[in-house]
Amino acid sequence: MKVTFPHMGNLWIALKALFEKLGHEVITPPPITKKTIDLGVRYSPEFACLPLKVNVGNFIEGLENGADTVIMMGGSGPCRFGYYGQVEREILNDLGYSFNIIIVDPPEGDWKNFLRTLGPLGNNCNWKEVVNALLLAWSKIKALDHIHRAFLKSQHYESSTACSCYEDIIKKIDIAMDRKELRKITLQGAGELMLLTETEHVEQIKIGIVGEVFMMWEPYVNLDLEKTLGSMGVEVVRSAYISDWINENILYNPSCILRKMRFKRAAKPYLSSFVGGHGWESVGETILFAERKFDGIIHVLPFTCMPEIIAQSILGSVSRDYKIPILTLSLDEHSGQAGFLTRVEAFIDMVREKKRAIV
Amino acid sequence: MGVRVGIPRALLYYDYFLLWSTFLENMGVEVVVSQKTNKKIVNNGIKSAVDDTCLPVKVFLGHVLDLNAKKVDYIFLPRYISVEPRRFMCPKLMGLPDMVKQLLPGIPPTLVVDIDARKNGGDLPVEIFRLGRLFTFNPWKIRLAYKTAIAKQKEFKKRIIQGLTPEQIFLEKNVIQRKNTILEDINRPESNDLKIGLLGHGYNLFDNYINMNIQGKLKEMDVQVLTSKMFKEAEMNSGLKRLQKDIFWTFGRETIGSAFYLLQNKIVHGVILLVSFACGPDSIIMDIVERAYKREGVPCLTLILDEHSGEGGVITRLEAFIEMLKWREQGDESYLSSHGESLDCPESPI
Ligand code: SF4
Ligand code: SF4
Repeated sequence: MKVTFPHMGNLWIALKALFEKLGHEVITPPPITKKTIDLGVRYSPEFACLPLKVNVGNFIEGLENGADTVIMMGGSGPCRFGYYGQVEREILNDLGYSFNIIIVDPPEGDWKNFLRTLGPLGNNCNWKEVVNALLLAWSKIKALDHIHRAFLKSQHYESSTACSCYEDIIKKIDIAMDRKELRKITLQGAGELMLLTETEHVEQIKIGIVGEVFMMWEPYVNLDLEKTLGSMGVEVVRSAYISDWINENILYNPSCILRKMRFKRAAKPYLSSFVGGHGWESVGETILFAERKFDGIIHVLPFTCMPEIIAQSILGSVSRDYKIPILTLSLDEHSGQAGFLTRVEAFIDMVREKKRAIV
Repeated sequence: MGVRVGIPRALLYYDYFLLWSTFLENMGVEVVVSQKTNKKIVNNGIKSAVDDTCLPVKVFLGHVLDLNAKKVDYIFLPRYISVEPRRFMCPKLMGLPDMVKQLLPGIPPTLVVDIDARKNGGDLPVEIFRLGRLFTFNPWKIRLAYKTAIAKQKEFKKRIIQGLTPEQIFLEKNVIQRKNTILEDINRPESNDLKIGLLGHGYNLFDNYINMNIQGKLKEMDVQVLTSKMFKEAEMNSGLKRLQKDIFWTFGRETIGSAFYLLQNKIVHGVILLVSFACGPDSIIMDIVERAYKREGVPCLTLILDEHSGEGGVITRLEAFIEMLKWREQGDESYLSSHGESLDCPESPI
């Protein structure tokens, strides 16, 4: 099988490792470009949320590069994501591609069906090989997230050095073939990045990023928000990582469950129910950031995103009550660099002013 | 005077008003409904909401403000998470009570009940008791009120399938008892009118301000209309068989189930999808329905409703669509022979 999958930040590195270990040929879709978005927009439902359109663009480019199997996550609602795969399959069918699609829906008790869907991916590997492949992919995800955190801690000191250093480490993680090597790369890489933080720096401001995960994790669609902020000398903290999501929803890691309880408790006076996607988290994490005395919050969402529109409606009150400035960026395929930069710059200026006034 | 509880005439009012008003009235509460949607309500809603919100939620906010002006003691704001196992309402409805409270800080206290039927049967009775306890300490009274309300709701469902509009039923106006469902009537061989399906959420189908009185306009054009609320469970289920994966939205199930049922049984000449701009679930549902209709060559028109869509434009599109259907029916032999047989077939497959 020649497999392809959708892009989301650096996740491709882990997916590539996983499927290669299972003995498949992997056709990683080319990095997201304007062409990807154009393709996706042309063939997707006009009013679908941006992630779906980007997925479609990735799949078309992957299939054009010779893939014959598309792998996609499923879900059981309440948000649109759970039905993405179904719609994407029909779009690609109508475009005339001949391909297989494997949509990985959560088992919800029906393990037989779940394993049957995943069967072809196993490629007759034995259990040990499968477990090893999964462990390698998981280690890569953890390594990528760890390095990203270190990068965010250092990039505002010396933006260009940090970026090139970060890119180098990411490349090394991609190449690494076993977990021991990964550990070494991670430790060394994080150390290198940390060295950059020793330069003197005045009047630092700290911004937390919350919102819909695809928009938060995929730099192409958020117009490289984190690096843009870094180059303005702003320290950025991302509210969630892929490894957090896996820890919480698949591995049930106790420390992440505790975290979840923390943000729920924080959000309670404002939003007391799950609303699909990451809406609840956006509200809770914003409050937690505010309690940690962050200087501002940037909330990113794709245009018409349901859970985040609820969050956005509520964040107004949070901003008032906690006296923390919040910038909401509702982005879609038409969002241009120029308008975006002006808004972000104006926001950062405002946050700086505010901080100066207090000091 | 008793307690006055306001129910906004928006969103799921068109589906569950009778249930709640019956229950509350049996609790000795005076139920106050907001005015019919009008320009002021819509504008107030738009002003209070976040820009990218869908029109129905904006309109809902306008109705809450209207109730606020009516000086009610409470505003009734159920949180509809799920009304049937394994399916959800829209994420926005799950967060609606919180959203309303944050966006409209000055309103009277809200009565929030969580409706979540995902866990077998749900804790509806528990929530109902929680609500009832606010008004009486007599559990028997609550139980009786609940039973009456459920019975009314069942009756409501039956009448909606027969083709009455929710407001006709709520106001007990023009309540003709029909023997057949409207679908059975429409399928009688002697009826030669143009038949179309009008599919969408209750608040788009029945709020004549939001939909620019589309049902009235179609009637004027002598078109027989089947709305997505007029199908029995079994009919929808047979339509849904085409899907590879169960659809996890209750509204989505109605729209897709009825769209596919109509398509399979060739009951109508075309369908119109009524969709709110920026509606999340419908962006997906629409694509599934449009694709299936396109593949089979049956006309499907999607009308997107938002606060900017002018009435003129909608009428033009509607008229053009109906003209096209008429032309197809008269002129196109192939359409008649492939689609005509079951239309005229007396033993229609119901
Ligand atoms: S969370 Fe937002 S982006 Fe994701 S599927 Fe839902 S609406 Fe789309
Ligand atoms: S179903 Fe659509 S129109 Fe209704 S509240 Fe949700 S997003 Fe809005």
